[in-house]
Amino acid sequence: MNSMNADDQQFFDLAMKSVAGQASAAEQAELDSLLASRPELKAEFDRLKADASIAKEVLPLMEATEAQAGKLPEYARGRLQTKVRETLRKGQAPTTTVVTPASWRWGWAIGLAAAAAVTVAVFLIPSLVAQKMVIQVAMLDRIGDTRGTTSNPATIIQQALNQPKVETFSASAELRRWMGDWPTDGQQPVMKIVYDRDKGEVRIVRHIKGKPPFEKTFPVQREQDLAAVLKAVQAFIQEQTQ
Amino acid sequence: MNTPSFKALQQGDPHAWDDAFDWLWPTAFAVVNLKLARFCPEDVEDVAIQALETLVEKVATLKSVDELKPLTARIAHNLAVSRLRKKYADKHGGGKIDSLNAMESKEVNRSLPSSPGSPLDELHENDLTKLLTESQEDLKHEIRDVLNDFFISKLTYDGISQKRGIPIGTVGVMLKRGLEAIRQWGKRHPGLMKELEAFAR
Repeated sequence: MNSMNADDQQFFDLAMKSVAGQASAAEQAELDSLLASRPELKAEFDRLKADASIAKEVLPLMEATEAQAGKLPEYARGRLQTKVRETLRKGQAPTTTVVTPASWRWGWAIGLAAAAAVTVAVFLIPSLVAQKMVIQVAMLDRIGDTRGTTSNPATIIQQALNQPKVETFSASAELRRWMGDWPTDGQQPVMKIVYDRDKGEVRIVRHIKGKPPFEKTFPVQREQDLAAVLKAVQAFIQEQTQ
Repeated sequence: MNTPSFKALQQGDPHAWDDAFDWLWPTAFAVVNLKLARFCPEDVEDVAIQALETLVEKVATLKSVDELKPLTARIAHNLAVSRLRKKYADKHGGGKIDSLNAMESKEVNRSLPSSPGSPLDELHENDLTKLLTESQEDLKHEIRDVLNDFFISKLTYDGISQKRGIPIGTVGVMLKRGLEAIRQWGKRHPGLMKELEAFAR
């Protein structure tokens, strides 16, 4: 286009109208006449058609790239987080590894939770009392009762872990604060257990002063499996602390 | 919404990804919606989610968080086109009597990149990422508006003049400037230029 002279704005306009199918018969005839009398314009016309094709492809993408409206469906969050875990945290957070008491897998930890959270409560699993390990439990749930399920996972947690009290968080920020709140004084080991309802998993994080945190995840494929998974969680904890 | 931490994303931090998914969802959804809304609106959400899943796989190859949105757009576009093609092929290949009628087929074909393919189709994702980033820097909003009016909304010169309150002559000048900017992208990106030339033949 740089080689075009001032008169070529007229050529450009005719070409654009032709490309867009907006040229009248007279305008199309004028364009045809120009192309016939100035063969060098044929290449420019072809180039303009290609430019127009690029514009048609790129402009919607540009607009969409800047889109701000819309909210991720909550049901998708678990699926996406599973993808993150499988793709980017592969090897870092085994979910099925059986470890021996001496081999708690100290690793990356504290990535924790995600979407919404339920509760936090402090309780002691009987077999852990002797070791004075503090257990804190949380359940994450941003969607709540709109899932249409009849069971109350908080109740299931209470029963399965012999948990006297359950509170519910509804924002991930609250959960993050809770997850970052570890006792600074002391010598007692602390374990946090989070049921992330959106991601479909139970996550355990243990802190012992002077050691890096440990994390282990138990998948919950269906919510009706939660009680069974919590039994496995409890068995795992007891096994590791015996 | 704050831009997520790129390092945390590459490390698979679930909180960072939660923020990123919220941030990128409008882009993924809008791009997919462009392609599928008329033909299979029931697939839009699923394909947009699939685009974000694919993005997770590619994040390790990126260099900065600025590339996330353009790449999301690129992935969403490709997946939407693939879904549209599959839908179209299934209907025609499945021997169904109630397949797309002639008018629908014409519209689907128009929505799909034309043979031998859109000039953007063969571009490496990095090229498209740069292209989208540059396009946002190079094209002034008023010029982009006119380009959208003409190429996307298919308004006439006269229609754009009335809509924007500018002389018809200015419409042409702005279109010309816009296409000049687009041509410069091609010059800066040999891959794009190559595809463009193949497309123009």
